[in-house]
Amino acid sequence: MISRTWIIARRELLSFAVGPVTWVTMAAALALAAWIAGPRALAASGGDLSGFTVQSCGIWLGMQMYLAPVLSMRLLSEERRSGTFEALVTAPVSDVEVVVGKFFAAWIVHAVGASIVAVWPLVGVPFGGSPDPGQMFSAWLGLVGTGSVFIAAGTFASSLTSSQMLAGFLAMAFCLLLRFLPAAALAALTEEHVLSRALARANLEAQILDAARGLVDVVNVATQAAMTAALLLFATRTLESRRWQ
Amino acid sequence: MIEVDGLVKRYGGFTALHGISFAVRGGSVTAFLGLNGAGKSTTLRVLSCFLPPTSGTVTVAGHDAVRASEAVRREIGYLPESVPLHPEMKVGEYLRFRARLKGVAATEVSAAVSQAASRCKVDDVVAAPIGSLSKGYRQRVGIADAIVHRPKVLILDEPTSGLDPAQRLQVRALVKELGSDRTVFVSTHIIPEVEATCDDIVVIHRGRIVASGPLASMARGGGVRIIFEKASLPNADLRDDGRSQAVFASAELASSAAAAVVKQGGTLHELAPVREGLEAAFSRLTTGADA
Ligand SMILES: Nc1ncnc2c1ncn2[C@@H]1O[C@H](COP(=O)(O)OP(=O)(O)OP(=O)(O)O)[C@@H](O)[C@H]1O
Ligand SMILES: [Mg+2]
Repeated sequence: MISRTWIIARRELLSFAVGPVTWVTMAAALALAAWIAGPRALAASGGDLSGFTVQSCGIWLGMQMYLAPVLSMRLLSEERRSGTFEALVTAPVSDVEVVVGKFFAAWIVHAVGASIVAVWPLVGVPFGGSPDPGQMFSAWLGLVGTGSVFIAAGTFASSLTSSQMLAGFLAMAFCLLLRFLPAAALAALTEEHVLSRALARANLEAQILDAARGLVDVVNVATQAAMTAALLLFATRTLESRRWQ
Repeated sequence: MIEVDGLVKRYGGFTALHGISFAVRGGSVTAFLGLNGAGKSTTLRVLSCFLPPTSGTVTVAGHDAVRASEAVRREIGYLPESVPLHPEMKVGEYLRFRARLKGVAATEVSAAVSQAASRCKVDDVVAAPIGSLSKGYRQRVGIADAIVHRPKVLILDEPTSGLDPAQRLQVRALVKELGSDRTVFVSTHIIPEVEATCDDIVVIHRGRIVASGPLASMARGGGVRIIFEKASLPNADLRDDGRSQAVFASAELASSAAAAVVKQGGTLHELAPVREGLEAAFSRLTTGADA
């Protein structure tokens, strides 16, 4: 089970590695984040590396909104369009292994970017800054956590259509909903409403802020894991239902 | 090795397979013959567990294709009609990936890949990206993929389609050779190919099986014919070449007629069973069932 998932993920990573889209997108996201976050964060925080992390994590959350769709849109749709899906699923693998393997590959690629963002404060060291390793770790955890939710959403979008363009747009729509819907819904509800607590918990923006400030919150991590698992389950169900039509 | 019983497959409202039943003997090379749109690919997709049957049962190597689909998929090597491959991967890379995915142990992957590659004559392109290969090479990479895990059953969907005559001969020879140590079920609509490579055939027409059995029984007997000259028999016809011919229901009747020809001082040119060619049998089967 684990090994076949990893075999699928590895092949996918190979495709990521040879495709220029991956590198260009990643480099662009990092450059853009640095360009926005750098001066702004330094100005706002006056050389305070902790404030820098908070700023750059917030900006990376925005980057994820387009990075995750780009990385995940072709995962399943492209195999279906080119027909390689038929070869893939007639090998002795399960739909779950296919979905998780694909997701994992995109997640790893994204995690490279997220990790760079998490250790960015190290740039301040030569200038006399002293970054907090605990804060860098919690920021990293938050970034890969929200990233995994978005990439799972993109994987689900990719299972819905054989057009990667359409999958990309769908993925972006899902990411926007995931990011803004909980906060918007929360604002519309009274504070005592039964859903309020859940919605507050599902707010990815709040989660990333916690993480960027150095807080490792188990409930946040569990929420992200649950959201990821649910989206991947949807993707698996879609694959199954498409074959059982 | 493959048993199909009452297999129905519907696509929405369209019924592609109307409850077909047939069996493929273990160790045989069996051709699956049918015109375009007859339902060959649909059947093979059900056999390979890509599509579920609407109803009916499919058993491959003793496993049910629905309830034990993973066990079936472990036993088969399948070449889909479109020969789907990842163009960005190198041939060797792709075959290694497929071998591992199909459960070949990590220590045996290299041996399995090089054996499959040399058997399918793609060992000279293992380092080439798949996207740069010609159609014939791509087809053979697809077959190498199908055999890389040494499956008991090979299911090939039109392995020679789109190839030039030389490539076609090569792939045909490969299929025949592969059939020497496993069961092969291969779809096609090219009749000479069937006659050259197969032991058995199954003929499908518009989603129904119209014939199945050993190749020899398919070209069915049409009696025994004698061809002669300078003699006369009551039921003889004159041929274009000026000779006469007569057809008899049995060899005994034909040989006594031949004796009569010789007695009359005529010349006997031929005494042989009449065989309807596979081509003729196929066209009879696939037009007769139209109504
Ligand atoms: N996914 C699908 N949805 C709807 N109809 C389909 C689908 N796949 C096949 N069909 C129909 O089912 C019938 C059988 O198709 P199938 O591909 O099995 O034929 P085939 O014998 O393989 O033909 P060919 O020799 O052209 O490959 C055809 O009428 C086809 O239009
Ligand atoms: Mg076909």
